Formats: sequence, structure tokens, C-alpha cells
Amino acid sequence: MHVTQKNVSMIDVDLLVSECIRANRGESAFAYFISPFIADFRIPSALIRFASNIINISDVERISDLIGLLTHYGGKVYILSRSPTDLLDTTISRSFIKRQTRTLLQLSQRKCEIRFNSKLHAKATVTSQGAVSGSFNLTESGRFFNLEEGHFFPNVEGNSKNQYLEKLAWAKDLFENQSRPLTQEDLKSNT
Amino acid sequence: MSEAEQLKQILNELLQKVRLDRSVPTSVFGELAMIRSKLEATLVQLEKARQMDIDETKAKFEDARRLQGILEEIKRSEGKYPSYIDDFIQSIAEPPYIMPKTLYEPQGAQQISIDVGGEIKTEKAELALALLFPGSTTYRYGMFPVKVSLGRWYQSGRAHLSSIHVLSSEPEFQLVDGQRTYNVYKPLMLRAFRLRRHWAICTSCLSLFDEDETCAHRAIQPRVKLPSSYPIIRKLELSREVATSKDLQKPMSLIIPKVTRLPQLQVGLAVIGFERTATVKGASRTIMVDYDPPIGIKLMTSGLSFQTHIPEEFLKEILQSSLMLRRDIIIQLLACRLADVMSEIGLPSYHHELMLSSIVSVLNLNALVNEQAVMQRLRNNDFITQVIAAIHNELDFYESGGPDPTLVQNALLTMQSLDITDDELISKLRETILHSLAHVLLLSAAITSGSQLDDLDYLVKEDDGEIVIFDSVSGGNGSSETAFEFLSEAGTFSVEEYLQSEEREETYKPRNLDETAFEFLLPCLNSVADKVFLFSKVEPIENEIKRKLGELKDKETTHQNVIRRIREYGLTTIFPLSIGYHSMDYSREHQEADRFKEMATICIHGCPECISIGRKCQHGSFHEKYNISKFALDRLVNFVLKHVTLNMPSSDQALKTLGEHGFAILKGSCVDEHTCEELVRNMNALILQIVGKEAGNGYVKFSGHWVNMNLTSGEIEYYYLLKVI
Repeated sequence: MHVTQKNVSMIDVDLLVSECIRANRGESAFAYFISPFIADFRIPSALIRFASNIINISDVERISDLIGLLTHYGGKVYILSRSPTDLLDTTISRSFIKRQTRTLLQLSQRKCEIRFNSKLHAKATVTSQGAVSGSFNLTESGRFFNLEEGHFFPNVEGNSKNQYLEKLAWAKDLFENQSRPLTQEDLKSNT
Repeated sequence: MSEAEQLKQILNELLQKVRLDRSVPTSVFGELAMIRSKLEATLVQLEKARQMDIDETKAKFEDARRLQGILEEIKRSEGKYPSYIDDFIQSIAEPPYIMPKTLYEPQGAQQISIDVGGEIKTEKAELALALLFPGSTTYRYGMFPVKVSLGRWYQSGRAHLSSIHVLSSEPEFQLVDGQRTYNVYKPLMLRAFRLRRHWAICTSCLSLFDEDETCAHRAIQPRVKLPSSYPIIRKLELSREVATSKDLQKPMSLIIPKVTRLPQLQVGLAVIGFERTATVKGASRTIMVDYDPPIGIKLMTSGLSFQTHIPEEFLKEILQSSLMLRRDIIIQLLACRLADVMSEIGLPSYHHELMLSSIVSVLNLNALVNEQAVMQRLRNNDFITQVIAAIHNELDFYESGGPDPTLVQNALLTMQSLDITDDELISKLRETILHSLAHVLLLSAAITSGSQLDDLDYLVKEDDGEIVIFDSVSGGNGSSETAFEFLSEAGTFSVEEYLQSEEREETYKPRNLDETAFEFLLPCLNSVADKVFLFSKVEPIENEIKRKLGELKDKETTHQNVIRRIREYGLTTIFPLSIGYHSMDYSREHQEADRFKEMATICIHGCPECISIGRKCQHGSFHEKYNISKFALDRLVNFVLKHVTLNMPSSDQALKTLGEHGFAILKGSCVDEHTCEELVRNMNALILQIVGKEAGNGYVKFSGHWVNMNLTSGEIEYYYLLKVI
């Protein structure tokens, strides 16, 4: 399915909520976030309303809250990004780098596994239910402001299944074999 | 010999030598003797200290320090209002949440005097009616408990207040409740007295043995702990001023289309009696005492009006299609009528359950009978004889002695003339649903506004299909206003509008009032777990249900016979089984009977985890179960959502409904573990094919997911709510 900035945040939220439900059932639940730039952003209230008698999707204001909720229910969250220290050598503004550091610190405190690759340019979100890939960074600009484009591959039988499995294998490989773990040095730019 | 004794011996020897030495002056000898006696005393103290238990001393020291802390806390809180603010303030969020003003402003212009043994105290009227009603006890006025006088009531279950307290000469207002009209008087001065140190309670009627109440049952139990008491309050709207309205969003708007703010609302509050609960011989018992006349005040406050929509065709259809609900409504009707009759003829309410249980047994209401069959049995010549026999048979399970035979005869005679028509059943069902909805809205408003349940109150206007939620104090406390602010705005979303909206800059708002209310309308998870445990072959794998099922499975050994018997009776019999002990046909043991009651009170028409609010219910916790129905609410929700509920649809069918109505509910059922897994997999695949797609004027969003157990088929039903936003 074709995805733009108009519906990507909706799919993001739905994928994460679905993972929370899976985790709550004791099923394997995970999410890979691959994005060179990461900064926490507010989720519009219309996107996060969810009524349920089996899972509590509440007190979610920002994307980090929703990711934190998934880890709270027992899901695994893997984040692949560029280290803030690497970004110091670029033209990226200091304030953005600080924001990225803060977000990574927050996510790491919420039990997300964080790794870095200094050449990363690809962007994708992959969960057990589907994968979104395209030009979207995991930032407010990437999700709402910019003109963005990409595709959603649900994990359902048919053509989409193979494409989903390819994305999943790629994400796993990138995270496990082509990246390095977060160290205290990476968060230095927050100070 | 201990070190102390050795030292003493050395000193004695030294003194002896000094006495014999002529070169030492007498004064030195005197000084030495004094030092010896001081040293001896110190050594004795030392020995005592050695024998002391350090842990015990430390514990005593800690106790003393804690006590000092409490005393300082009490000193600090003197003059503050209310006393719980220090504890509460820590648990609340940062501004801009609007705090209920109750926390900061002393409220209520009206005052009531309390005469505590000649010492006059002045209290806010609302507080007095909530805490210091006749029959209540309080530690408010010092270390020894004070009781507000009640007088003897045990014979009729009615306390005559005008001879004890000073009431207004004219009624404050009139209150119509069911078939009765009350003149409500304002209490000007309530008389109270300090309870003596040693007192007792009657295990039969729960009368206190003090100089005020007493009874003739001779079933006295000495007590240390005071019983708990709650007032039974009826409310009546006297006048209102209307302000702005808001339309609710779907799906909530299908049941409550509109909410209106009422900035000026005058409410008559009438305390018509109170409930007293005490543990006697290991079991909790509750009794109800009526006031003659009721006491009350007029309250000027603010509130919200919820206009409800309960379709007439739903009421007719559900009573036709669900024989269980029809039978349960008949029982509720009988229970309410019996309570009225007992109150009218002066039969104490603590016999209500025994009498109702006997009537249920004689009318064979464990079976799915209709009102014609019930009336036929009511009119039978031997109805009264049979009920009296059933009462005697069941009496063994109760602490109290039997009710007065003449009064029982009179009550049953009145019950025999009861007519139960189709219209009456429809009317009772509407009242029950409205009242259940009122509980849902009260709970939701309290949660959304961050208030305590006591900050808000409710009244139901049955004729207008309206529910009013209002601040429970004069002048209002801001709770209802806050809840109104937290009603959902239009549920649409577009990136363009979002970027220009103020929402991005707004601080986080808690869950909206209508969202919270909708969650209360979803099936009760406690009920699902209970039903699954007792009657289903499928176990849903959701963690919360598994946890509850685990707790229930722990009872399989101790409650083996009970579980077997309840399974034999079947799910549709649960409500009548929970009334009294008429269904205890396999054991006369009290412990087994209590286990039976415990297992039979599974949530069909409401429990504390969904819509039961106990003492906050306007009928009191004693009669609440005969005035609410979660089952009927569930069916109402299903009815209003029928046109958008699709059973295992294709993605095209789902998108079509989403395009037409703006939302859709996808449903699937399963009968065993295997089909359950497959169902969840298929439903997930379906959702994934739809979310994010364009439909109507927006995109499809996954907005809800819940589980239920079908009472008839025992199937587990999974629901998925999709919305176009």
C-alpha cells in the first residue's frame, strides 16, 4: 500500500498498538525502528484513541510513550540510528542533536535496544504485523511536516508477505550484523 | 560472679580498709560511702539495661516517634480543609489540570448544629448529611466515638426522627420515590452522645446496645469495632439554568447524542435512611433503616445533563428475544416491590433477602419463566403457605430469627395482588438501563476530572430519559465542568489541519469523558473470566483473563461441589441463584452455603469492576443489584451498533461500511482453542489489509478491540473497532 505523510503516523500507531495486543497475549511482539534521525514527537489525540477491555492504551502522549508501552507489555524494541557524536561533525543543528540524544536516552531507559551505524540513510519500521519503509524519519517532520513517500507491506498471505519477509530479514541483519551498540560516549552531546 | 558484683565487692573491701585506717578523715569515709551507693545504683541500672530486649526497645521508640509524627500532622492540619489534601496533593498531576475546588474552598453556605451531649458543634450541611446522619458514629469530636441519636427502630425498621432531633417546622421539599411521596425536613439540630466504652451489637438486627437503640432479640455480641454506616440519599432536581451543549462522537453518540452544561442547578438532597454493615460471627451483614421523616437540604450547584437515546424497539425486542433478561427483570421488579411493601408495613429490611429468596423459590424463578406464569403462581391459594414454608426451610442459613409471621402474611398478601404487564417490564428495563448508564457516567466523569467519587453525584430523570451528573457540594467544585471540557472534539484527523491546530502546542489531556464511558460499556472482563471459567470450553489467551482464570482455578479444590452444582444449574440461572440460599439443595453447612453464594455472584448484571458503585448508588448498596444491569447495557450497545457490526467480513465489505458510516465493528467467534487462534490470525490479517486505507473522507484507523463470551452459545467473541478519521 502506498503511504504518504498523510497516513504514515496512523499506520505507525496501529502497528504498535497491534504489537502491544500480541505482547499482552504472550505472543512474540517486536518493532524495529530504523531511522538516521530520531526525535520524540507528540501523537495527535485522534490517532491514539483506543477502546478496549483487554489492554490499556492510555497515558500515551508521545511516540516514546507508545514505544515504552510496548516494552512494558513485554515486546522487544530495536532502534537503529546514527550516533549523536557522529552527527556533531555534520551541519545538523546542535539543538537537534541534543534532542536526538535525549530521545535515545529516554528510549534506552524504556528498555529499547539501541545500536548505531554511521552510514545509515534507510528508514523503516518493521513489526511482526507489517513493515513501513520509505523516506520517513522518526521525527515530527518526517511524520507530519515534509512531503514523504513510502510503502506499507502487511504480514498477510499474498505478494505482500514476501516483501514483508525481505524487509524483516534486512532489518534484522542490519541491526544484528551491521551496527554497533550504544555507549555512554554516544550520549555525551546531551551535556 | 558478674563484673558488677566483683566491683561491688572491691568497693566494700576498700571501704572496710578506709574505716579501719585512722589517718583517713571521717568526711572522706562519708564521701566514699556515698560514691559506693551511687555506683551500686548505677550498676543495678546497667544490669537491667543489659537484660533489655533491644529490638523491643527500638520498636517502642519507633512507635513513639510515629505517634509524635501523627500528633504533629494533626496539629498542622487543624483549620485546613479537607484533611486528606496533603496525601492527595502528591498524587495529582501538574497544571493545567483543573483541580476540583473541593480541595481548596470550604463549601456550603448552609450549616447544621450537632448537639454532642450539651456541647454544640456547627457543621456544613452536606457534610453532616454525608457523615453525621442519625445512626452514624464518628471520631470527629475526640478520642471516644460519638453517635448521632437514632432511637429504637428494630420492630418496624423505621427510626422516628422528629421526636429526637430538631427539624424544620415546614417541609423543605417533597420527594416522589416509586409509589411513595416523602415530605423532606431540614435538620436544624441533630442530637448526639458519646458512646460508652463497652457496648454490644445485636447479631440478629444489628441494633447497637447503647442508651439509644437496643432491641429485644437477645442475640448480643460484645464489640470493639464500630459498624460502618452509609446514608441512603435520594436526589431531586428543583431548578436549572442551561448553558452550552456538545454533540458526542460516534459510537457513543448512538446512546448519548448530546451533553449540556448546567451552570446553575438546584438539587434537593434527601436522606431517606441508612445502611449499617457489621461482621457478625465471621460474616458481613448489612441492614437498612428508614427515616421517618426523611431529612434533607436544597443544594445550589452545577452539573451536566446527558440526553440518552434508548430505542423503544430495542426494549421490546430484547425482552422478546432474551428470556433470561425477561425473567431477571421480573425478579428485579419483585425485589423492588417487596422492599416497598416491607417498608410500608414496617417489616425490617434485613429480612428482604430471605423473603425474596423464598418467593423466587416458590415462583420457580430459577427457570426461564415469563410474567404470566409468575402471576399465576402468585395468585395460587397456597402461595403464602408455600413461601412461609420456604422461609422456615431457609432460615437455618441466617443469623437473624424469623420475621414477624403476621407482617410476613400481610406483605405476601400485598405481593399476591401484584400485576406484571408487558408495559411494566419495558418501563422497569428502561429505568434499569438508565440507572446503569448513570453509574457509567458518574464513574467516567470522576475519572476524567480527576475527582473522587464523593465529589460528584447523579440523578436520573426517567420520564425525560435524562441523566444529570452534578458537583456534590453547594456552589459546585468544578468536577462536572472539568468533565465537560474533556468531551471529545470531532474525531477526524488531517495532517494539514493538525499542523495549523493549537493541539500541537497543548499540554497533554487525559482520556476524554466519552471515551472513558464507552470503555465502561464494553463487556466486563471480570464477568468474561467468571463465565469462561464456569461455562466455556475456550480459554482466551489475553493476559488479564488468564490472570483472573488462574485465581478462579485456585478455588477448584475448596469449592468443588459448589462449582459442580452451579454448572448443573447453568449460566442463565446465575442471577436467581445469587439471591439468598434457596438453591442450596445439597448441603446444610453454613460454610458450604457461603461458598455457594460467593461463586454464584458472578457478574451478569454488574460488579464492582464494572458498574456497581455500592453505597454511592441512589438505591443503596443493599438494593443496587435490583436496579442495574450490565447485561442489558451490553445488549443495548450491540443493538445500536448492529448496523455497523460485520461478522468476519471481507476487506471490501468492511471498507464499504466504513465509507458509509464512518466506523465499523468486525466480529468473529470461536468455539475451541484451535479456531480461536485461527480467528485471531484471520482478523489480524483483515485489519492489516484495511488500516491506513482511504475510506469516505479520511483514512481507516484501528480504534478498539474487546472480547466477550456469548451467554447462549458459550462462544468467545472478538470485536475490532475501525474508524475513519
